[in-house]
Amino acid sequence: MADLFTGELHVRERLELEAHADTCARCDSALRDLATISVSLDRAYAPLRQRGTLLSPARVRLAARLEPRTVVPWWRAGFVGRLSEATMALGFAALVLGGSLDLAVKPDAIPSASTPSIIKDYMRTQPPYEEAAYVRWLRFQLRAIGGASAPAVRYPVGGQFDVEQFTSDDASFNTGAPR
Amino acid sequence: MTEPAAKRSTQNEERRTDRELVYAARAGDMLAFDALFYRYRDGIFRLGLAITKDPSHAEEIAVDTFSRAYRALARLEPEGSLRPWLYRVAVNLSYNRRPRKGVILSPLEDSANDTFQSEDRSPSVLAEQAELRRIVLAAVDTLGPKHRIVVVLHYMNGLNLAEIAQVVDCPIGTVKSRLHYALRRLRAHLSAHPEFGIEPMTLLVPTSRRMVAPAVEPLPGEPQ
Repeated sequence: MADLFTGELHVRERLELEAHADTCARCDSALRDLATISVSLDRAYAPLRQRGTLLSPARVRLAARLEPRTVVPWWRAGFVGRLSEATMALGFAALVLGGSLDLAVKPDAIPSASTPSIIKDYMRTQPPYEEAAYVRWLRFQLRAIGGASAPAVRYPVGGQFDVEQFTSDDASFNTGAPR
Repeated sequence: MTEPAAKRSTQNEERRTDRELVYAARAGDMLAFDALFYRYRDGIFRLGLAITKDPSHAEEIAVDTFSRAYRALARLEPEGSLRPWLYRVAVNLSYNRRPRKGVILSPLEDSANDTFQSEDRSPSVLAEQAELRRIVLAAVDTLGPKHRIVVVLHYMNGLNLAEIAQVVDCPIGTVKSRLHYALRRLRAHLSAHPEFGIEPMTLLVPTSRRMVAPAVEPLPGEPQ
C-alpha cells in the first residue's frame, strides 16, 4: 500500500488498489492515514529542502590537500620505497667501512698525500672554534700562503694577549706624582 | 574570461553528465569538479543537516564528502549519476557525527522560513504548522538509524527506492520493507496526536502481535 506514495506502483495496480479501497473500509482508512503521514512528512521537510549552503569548492580542495596522509609502515611500503631504504643503508655502510667519512678532523692536521677525500678537504678548510686551536689553524694557513716570510703569530701569554707597554715621556705620569 | 563566455562555460558544465565531469576532473579540469560540487552541494548539506541537526556539522560533512570524492577521482566510475556514491559517503560521515544532545532544529527557524514563503498566513496558522512539523520530526527521530535514513532520503532528498538501495547498499526489497516499517511506526506515533486525524494502529498490527484487550474497562464485579 505504501508503494502508492513512493511512486513504485504501476497505474493498473494503483487503479485496482483504489477500487478495492472504495469497497473496503479498513483499507480505505489505512490508505487515508498513509496519505496523511506522507503529506505530513513532505511538509515537515519542506523548510529543510529550501536550505542551502554557500560553501566554495576552494574549501574542498584545501581540505583535500591538508588532510594528513596515512603513514605506511616500511614493511608495507612499495617496492620502490623498500629499494630506496636498502640503497641508503648500503651507502651508509660503505661510507663507514670505507673510512672516507672521518668526522673527527684534527684542526692542526698537516695535509698529506693520503687518500683524497672531499669531506676531509672541506673539514680541513674550516676554522676550529676553540681559541688556541684557531690560532694554530691560522698559523698553519699563513704559513701555507706566505711560506717562511709570513710573520710569526704572537701567542697569548698568561692567558691574555700581550699588550705593548704604555710609556710616556711625562715622568709624573709614570710616577703618579701630581702634575 | 568575459561574462558571456563564463556563462556559456557554466552552461556547458551543467549540460555534461556526472560521468563526463568525473573524467574531465580526472584529466585536471577543475571547473568540471566545481560543477559537480555545485550540483550536489546543497543536497548533501541538507542530508547532513537532517541527520546531525547541526548546520556547522552539515557543512563539514559536505566538505569531507567532496574532499573524499576529490581524492577518489582516479577510482570513481559512475555508471550514471554520482549522487548515490556521494550520498553514501555523506550518510556514513553523518552517522559518525552524532547529533549533540538537546540540539534540535529550531521551530522558530522553520516558521520564519514559512513567513518568507507566504506572508498572507496568520501567525496562529504558522505556529500550528510549526508545531505539527516538530511532532513529525520528533516521531522520525524515534525511528532507528536504518529506518530513519530511508525516510530522510525519500521524503527530504527525493531519492527513489532504487537510488536509496544504492546509498544504503542493500536490495530494493529491503528498502521497501524498511520504508513500510517506518511508516507504520510513524502512524503509531502520530495517531497519539488527534490534530493529525490518524486512527489508532490496532487494525494494522499483525494478528500474532495484536493484544487481546477489552474495548471498555469491565465494571467491578463483572465477569471477565
